[in-house]
Amino acid sequence: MINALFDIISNNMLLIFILLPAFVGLIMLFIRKRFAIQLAVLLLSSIINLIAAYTLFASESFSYVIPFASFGLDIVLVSNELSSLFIMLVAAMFLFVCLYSAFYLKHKKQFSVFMLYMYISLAMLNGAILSDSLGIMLFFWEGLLCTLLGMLLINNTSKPKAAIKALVLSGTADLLLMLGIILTAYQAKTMLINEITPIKIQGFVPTLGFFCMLFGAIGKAGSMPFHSWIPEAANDATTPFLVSFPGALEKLAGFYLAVVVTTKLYDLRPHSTISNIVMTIGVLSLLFAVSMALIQKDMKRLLSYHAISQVGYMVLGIGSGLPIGIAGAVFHMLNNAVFKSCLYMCAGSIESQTSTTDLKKFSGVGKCMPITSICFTICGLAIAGVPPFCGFFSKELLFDAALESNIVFYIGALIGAFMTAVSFLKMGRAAFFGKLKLPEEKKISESEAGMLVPMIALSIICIIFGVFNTLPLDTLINKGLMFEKSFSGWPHSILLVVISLVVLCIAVLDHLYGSKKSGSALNAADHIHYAPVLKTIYSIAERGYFDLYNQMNALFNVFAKICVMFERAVSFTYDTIAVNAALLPGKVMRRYHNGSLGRYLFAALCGVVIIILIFIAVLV
Amino acid sequence: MEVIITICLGFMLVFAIVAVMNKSLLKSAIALALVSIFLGVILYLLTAKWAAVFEVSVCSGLVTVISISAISLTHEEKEQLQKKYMDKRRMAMLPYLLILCGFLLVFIVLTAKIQLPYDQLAEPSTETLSEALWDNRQADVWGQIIILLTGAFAVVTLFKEA
Amino acid sequence: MRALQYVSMLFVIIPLTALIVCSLIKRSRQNAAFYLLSAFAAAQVGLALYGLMLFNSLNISEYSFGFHITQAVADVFTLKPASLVMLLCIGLVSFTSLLVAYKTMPANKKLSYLRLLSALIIGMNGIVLVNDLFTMYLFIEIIGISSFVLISTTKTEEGLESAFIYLVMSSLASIMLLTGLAFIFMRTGSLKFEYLIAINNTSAEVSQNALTYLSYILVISGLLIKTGAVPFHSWLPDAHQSADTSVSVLLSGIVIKAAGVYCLMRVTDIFGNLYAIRLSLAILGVITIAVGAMFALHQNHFKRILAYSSVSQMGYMLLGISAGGILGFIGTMLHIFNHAVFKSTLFTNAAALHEEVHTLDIDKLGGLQKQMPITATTSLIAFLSTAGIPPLSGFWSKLLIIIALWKANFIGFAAAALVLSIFTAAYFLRLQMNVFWGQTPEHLQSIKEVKGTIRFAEIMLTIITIAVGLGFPFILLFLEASGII
Repeated sequence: MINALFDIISNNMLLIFILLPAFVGLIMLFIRKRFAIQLAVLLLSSIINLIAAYTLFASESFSYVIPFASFGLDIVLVSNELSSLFIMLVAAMFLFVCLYSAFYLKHKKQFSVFMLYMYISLAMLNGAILSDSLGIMLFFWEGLLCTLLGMLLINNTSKPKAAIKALVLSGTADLLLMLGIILTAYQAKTMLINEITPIKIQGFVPTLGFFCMLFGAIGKAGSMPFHSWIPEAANDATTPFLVSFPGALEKLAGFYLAVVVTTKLYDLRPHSTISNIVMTIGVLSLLFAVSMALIQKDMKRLLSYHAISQVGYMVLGIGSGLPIGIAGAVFHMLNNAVFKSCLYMCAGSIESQTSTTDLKKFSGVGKCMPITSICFTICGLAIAGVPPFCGFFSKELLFDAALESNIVFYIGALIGAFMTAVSFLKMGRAAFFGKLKLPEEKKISESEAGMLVPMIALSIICIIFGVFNTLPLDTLINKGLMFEKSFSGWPHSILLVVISLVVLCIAVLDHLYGSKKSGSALNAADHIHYAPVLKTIYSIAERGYFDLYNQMNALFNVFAKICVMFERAVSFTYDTIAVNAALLPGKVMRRYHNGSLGRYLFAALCGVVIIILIFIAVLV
Repeated sequence: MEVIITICLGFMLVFAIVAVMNKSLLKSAIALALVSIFLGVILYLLTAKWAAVFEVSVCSGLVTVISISAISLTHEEKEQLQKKYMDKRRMAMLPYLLILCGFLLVFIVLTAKIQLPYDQLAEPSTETLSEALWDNRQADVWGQIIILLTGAFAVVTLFKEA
Repeated sequence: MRALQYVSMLFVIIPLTALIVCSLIKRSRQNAAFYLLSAFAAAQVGLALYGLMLFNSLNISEYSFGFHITQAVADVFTLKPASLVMLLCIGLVSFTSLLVAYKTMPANKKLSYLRLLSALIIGMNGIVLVNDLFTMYLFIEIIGISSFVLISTTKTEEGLESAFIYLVMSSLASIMLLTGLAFIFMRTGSLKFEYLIAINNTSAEVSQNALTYLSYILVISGLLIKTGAVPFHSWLPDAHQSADTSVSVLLSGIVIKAAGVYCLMRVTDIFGNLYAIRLSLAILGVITIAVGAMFALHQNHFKRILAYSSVSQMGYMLLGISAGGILGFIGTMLHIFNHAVFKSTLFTNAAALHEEVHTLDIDKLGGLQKQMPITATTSLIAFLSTAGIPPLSGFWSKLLIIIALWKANFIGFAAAALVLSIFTAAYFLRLQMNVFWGQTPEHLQSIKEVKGTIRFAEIMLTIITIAVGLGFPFILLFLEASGII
């Protein structure tokens, strides 16, 4: 009996990855009262997910097919090295994130609904990562839109601005992805990733397909130009949402697809024009986002802009096309998932104690919340790229790749690193060190143990991935990407290390200078903010001109207005002729207007003429 | 044969224009009856006896009777009608113009000997009426019954006082 | 076989019975007639599903039947899987319309509504069951007359005006259809579907003639007017807005599809899948999607936005027909079903709003999510389905149509259709934002959720949307296993 059950499970293992989280999510919706039960279900399901994912990673590749119909929409799920690696990473991050969210939302009423959405997102993510057929992957990928919208609308329907922006921008990214998939499948004549040999990017259709797919993938992860919903969400959404989605899960999904696109679907040559274009976009987005981050005064918004800029780093790495770049990008993505979620968790823990994250309203809570400040410091140092934390090693790999492609990209990346360091110094000092100032007079203490445990675990991982970086690089990433060369250990080029350390020192000096000049740690970056040219650029950006959403809004308002204006012009011209040409109405209808009817009939006859013209064009 | 058919078509056109554009409803109804009579003649000449019979009886007979009784029951106001149309003097010539075009068309078709688009006349069919209707076109008979019922409901719905 | 014979005859007999009953019943017993007709509509849904299962088990792909009085009668009706899907839609939408009309129709008009509805159902059932072009035209006329009067049942000034516009444009469609039919009859000598398909394949002299092409153009134009494609669409918004909401459900849900899209599909098949026809349908399809969406962005009346949205979705169905092949066929049929479901949901929501708030002007509405949560959520799900977001059913039909288009080498049209989906999301987002999200104004604080049949209809339709979306693979497997595809 047990054997039979075991057999069923192992045969349909891949399908269970999708169905089980969905089922658990539905269960979570109905358990409302007892927190202990909810916590138990949550922990149990996440750990099972993780163990199952690890067994996938440790075993051979295999695939699972449900024949659907002969149109290339067969449900083909495959577990190969890359997908099993990502399933495992998703499972691990999910565990930490869920634990934190459980304690954050402990007695609030949106807990069950939030968990439902989280689990369904996990099911969709698993489905998207595991599927081999591009059409089915699109099903799961776009399904994330529903949960995204749902999570942003919880208790928030009176201010839906962030939700709508998120839906529109993510939706547009998905639309681009659909277009890219169609173009790719059209060229490769099949929908299965395993059967596609990498397509050369020459000519109009392959280039368009590559860019559409790449932008669709990284757009979901939050790269420019689809980024502007994340800072909006930082204002409106709950912190657990920020921890999970922009922090960890979407990046993992987006970069899984980006790696697939650049390695399996298309043949991205290093040093080619396409590679340069992608890297340029990466550098621009990283510089732009980190500049915006520099001037923020709210912790969550600042972290969101940083998230966008780190995605720029990953795009830089992937765009290089070199193995060192791709491995660096994946490692950076992994590190980012770890330390970005931990940073959001710290912000959330401050929020749960002081009920705000606006740096103008509070400062200096380091002494009251020691553990939070230590975790924040560790992760802040990691994101800035200080050895021996993990961020340093991934950044070095990326710098190496950037330098090999072009020195311009390297310089751009360095400037980005400088600005990252400056902004974290500012934020860290302002939030945790210095004089204690609170929005209201009350005693605050450290957050609950349940929220601290994931933070501590993630910080420890930060250290481990740094010091013992053979673990992630060789055993995980190299196995996933099937590279032979090992990138672990200290970076090869001492010159690069020295340059990075020099940049960090300049950042510290700049911070000290800035804080002396403006009198507080918070305003330490103000001298950059109010510098002559940058000031104008900043004010334009803050007013939203660089926002793709606002531009799209303006653009199709214009289109629609043109359409209505044209219609009015035609109707005015024909109103006079049409009245006389219309049929005389009977007695009942005599009092009704008949002018417009003539216009309608005329339009219909125009339609017939159009069809006649098409026929003539085709048949003659 | 073709001459007669062309002349009938011309008359149909003329009377149709009269039916649509005449100021008096009574005269329009009579013009409609004349249109259908000419159509019946054409159908008979094209050896479709049953179609001709149905056409004349339904359109010239039934419809004209109903229209004329409805018109005479409603006592339309002639003076108001006249006044409205006197204002639109600039289009007063249009009906006469169209009728002239109609006669012109007939003349052209006859003199240029334009081939009307029918190939040859079919033989008169040998089926009885019930065979033709029920065996060959059963679905159409169902449809016709439903249309009659629908039409009745439509009239009742539209014109019944609340 | 016997079961199939009874089932197929019932499709004709049931609406006929309904018509007779409704014409004879007294005014005082009209509620009983309501229940009877609802039962019949639900029965039609059940029979259609049962018919699909019978087809599956008997492994046939079509079934002809007729009502024989004498022996020498050919079978005049034909039941095909596509017909069964359409019959399912007809039953479902009629049922929804009855549920809505129970609340919204004024009491003295209910009987007229019921009679005309039964006539309409007969007309629609007839169209999907016949195998002769002229009979199809006849039933299109039945639909035209019944819908014309249904639009003007409540005898408001705008109702009568829009009904008149519809009547005149419908007459133009009939003229073009009849003329086209006459030319075809002249060329080929018969109007039966099998005969026409055979002659198109065998005789080049008949099928490649200028007169034949002209007849194709006329027939297709006539049907396009009925579908509401651009530039023939002008009657559609007025008709939907001014009619009573239950009638709008019918119009948008099934009339423009049975009389329009389904007939276009049959006719394109019969005319031999000419490239010229497919190209014209594709071009008009893309124009329709674009224009419908762009007009919808500027409207302020809830039902008018939905009407322009219907116009836009008709464009997708035209694209599906033009793609041809098995994928295009399934995509179009699925989109017909999906559109019936989500448009009916949205119109039911409009009825709910009208019942509770008594206005449909979106400038005066706002923030109703708290007061009417069920209406708001069902509206959100219906709009997500229209925009084609998984895991709802709209995603599958859009995906199938787009795949069909690229398989047919209409890549540019596929890309255009994709990009224009943004407009779909845009006007619905505007609708949702203005009506349900945002702050609730003062005068709307005391609105309650709608109860009764309208709520039941909303929930039922939403469940169908989600179920078909999640379970679509199984539906497709079922259809393939039964050899229907």
